[in-house]
Amino acid sequence: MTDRTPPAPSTPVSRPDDPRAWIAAPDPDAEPGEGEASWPGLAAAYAVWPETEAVRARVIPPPVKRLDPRAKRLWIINNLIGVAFLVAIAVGIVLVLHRWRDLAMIWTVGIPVAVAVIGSIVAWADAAVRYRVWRYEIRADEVDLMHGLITRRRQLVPMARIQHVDTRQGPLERHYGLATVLFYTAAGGMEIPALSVEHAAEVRNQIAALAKVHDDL
Amino acid sequence: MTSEPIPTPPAGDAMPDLPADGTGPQRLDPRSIVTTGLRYLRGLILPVIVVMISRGFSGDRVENAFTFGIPLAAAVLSVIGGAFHWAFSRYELTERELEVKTGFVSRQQRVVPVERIQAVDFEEAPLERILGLVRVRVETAASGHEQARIELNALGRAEAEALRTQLLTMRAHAGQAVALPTEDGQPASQASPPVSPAADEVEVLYRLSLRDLLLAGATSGRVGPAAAVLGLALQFGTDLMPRAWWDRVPWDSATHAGAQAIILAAIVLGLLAWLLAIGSTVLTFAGFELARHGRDTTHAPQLVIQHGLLDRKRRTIPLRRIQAIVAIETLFRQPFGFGEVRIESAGQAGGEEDASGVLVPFIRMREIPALLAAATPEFVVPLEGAALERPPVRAAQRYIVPQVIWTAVFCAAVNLAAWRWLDGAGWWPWTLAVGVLVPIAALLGWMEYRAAGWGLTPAHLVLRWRTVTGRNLLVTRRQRLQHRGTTANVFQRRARLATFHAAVASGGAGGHFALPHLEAGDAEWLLAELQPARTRAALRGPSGEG
Repeated sequence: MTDRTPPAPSTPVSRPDDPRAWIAAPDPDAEPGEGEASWPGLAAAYAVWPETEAVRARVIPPPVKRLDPRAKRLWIINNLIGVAFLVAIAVGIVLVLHRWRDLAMIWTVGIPVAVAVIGSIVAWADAAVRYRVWRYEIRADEVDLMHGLITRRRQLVPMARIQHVDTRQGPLERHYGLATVLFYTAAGGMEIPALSVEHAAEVRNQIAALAKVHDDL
Repeated sequence: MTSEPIPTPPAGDAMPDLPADGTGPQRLDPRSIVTTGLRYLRGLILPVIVVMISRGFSGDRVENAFTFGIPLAAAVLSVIGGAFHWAFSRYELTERELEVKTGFVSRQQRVVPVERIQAVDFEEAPLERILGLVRVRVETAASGHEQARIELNALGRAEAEALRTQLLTMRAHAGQAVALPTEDGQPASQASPPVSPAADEVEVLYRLSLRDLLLAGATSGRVGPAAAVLGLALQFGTDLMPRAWWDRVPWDSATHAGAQAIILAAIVLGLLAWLLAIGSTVLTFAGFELARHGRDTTHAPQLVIQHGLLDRKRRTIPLRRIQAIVAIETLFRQPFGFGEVRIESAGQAGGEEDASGVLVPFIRMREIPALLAAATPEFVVPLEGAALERPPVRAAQRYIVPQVIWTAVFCAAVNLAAWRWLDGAGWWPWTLAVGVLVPIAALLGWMEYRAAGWGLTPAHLVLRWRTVTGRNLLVTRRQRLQHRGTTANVFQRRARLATFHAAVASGGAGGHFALPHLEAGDAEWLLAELQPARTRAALRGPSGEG
């Protein structure tokens, strides 16, 4: 992936509590030149609440922290592994059809190639979009998560409800120096994927420290 | 939080005298060989029947001996299994722990610290009742998971009662050492009150009369499963029915008589399913009784639920573990003003059966407030149903349109299939009748929109929603919420709507609730208002609200 220097944000950066700002807001922790590009129309698509002062005063400002930029690469590789499986299956089917059903050569070659090309594009787009829309924030009393392009999902988890916190690192994640933070409440688990190892440990310790006082369910 | 005063335990109350003498590892009751064996046998019945039927009765004497030998072998194996289970099971009560060892192939050893014990429940099947045995089930916060369940297969009743008393007493005294945190997440300054079931005060809150029991069966949702079971039974039934009868029925849908026969058969099947549903409800809930133990505050109050005609179940639910109450009015019951009440409670062994979350299986809806006031006063909400906030009018189409589209697609597919492939059967013009499903879907969507609502009080969150099966009203305490959230898909965002989600702790599969298509601003406002800090402020007094 080549990272072009993004154009300057087209919209002026608004106050941090402006809900519309979250998609365009620069992440203080991000590497310079990463993921600051504005995405025309997207910010507006994500602003779902009426903009009256009275309402804004009552809503929780959306989370602003972003994942580690290396997440994009990790997810692309992850997705490409899936695509490779798909291509292998396609090749198998096509070979069988070619051998016993006289499938034309153009299809025999074309279908796996098409699967590979389309799959790669989807793999890249999925990783890019997922990285771009993932936001999290750890506040004194709550963990705030927000992600998803088609269905935007926001989750708020009070610290007092967190039973325990883990970090997890798969082989690919280890290669990129990334880790996932998982935390569990009595109603289920949630995760913050693809943080740098140091930051993940920091986040885990932060949550663990803040969550120390909790219910004995 | 409730302002119930938590009394300090009587001072100078030392650890109770444990029968430290001779409490080594204890065996189960030897009679459990029979009951455990019988339970193993019950597990073997289906495979045995399948094997017997597949072998058939050929008439050859040796063959038949084999066929009949199978159940005999199963019975012998079961008894041997029961004997092994008894011989290799031990339980031991040490100073702070209950230790249970079972198994001879894979040995299992479980240690439960007494403070972790949530409840000690009894269950008894008919034979166990005759023999005076009970199965003892020790509930912990983790016993929602199958592997974490601790069960003592059959002790004598007196022995079981003694064990229960002892465990609960030990837990109560252990609680003095370990300060349990309260609902707010702050450690309790005072220890939890001691539990001594012997001195318990019992108040029966609800019993099911025979009339209500039959009504409950008649309006239960069990008709569907019952019909499925009957359909399955028919697979065998057609073999048992005399061939001559079967052949005399003109099973041809094209003829007038044939259509009549099919309709008649369907009616008979439906009626049978209905009777079966009533029967199974009676079996499950006969003798239903809901009682509250520990009315006075010196004992940790808990609800005790008993029901069952043959297989008698007894469940204990400590009040402080109740997370949410759901009142359900199914489509069949709503016109008559009846419903059921379920509870979500943390760490109860749930999901295993339909009845595990039931607080009351059948009740007049207008009696519910009084029942809750007596059973779970923490969940009584000063809110009328009409006072709930509603989704905006423009959300109505989001409730209706998707359902109509899916139903229309289904109807089109059915008609297409009938017209294209079953043309010869003469079904096609008639299958157009499934089209009535489309207005029904629209009506259901409209009803779902009408039912959707939410309400917030300083202490409670109330959600009301309708599914295909019925209308649900959820009441939970704000501090019982685990996490909360919103989702908004592309269409919702365009209409400035959002779905609100809330989750409470639950042993079963439940615990997650969603209210679709709220005003996005309302959903975000709910998220903010349910922040722990704001909840604390709201509980302190109305001054915190602007």
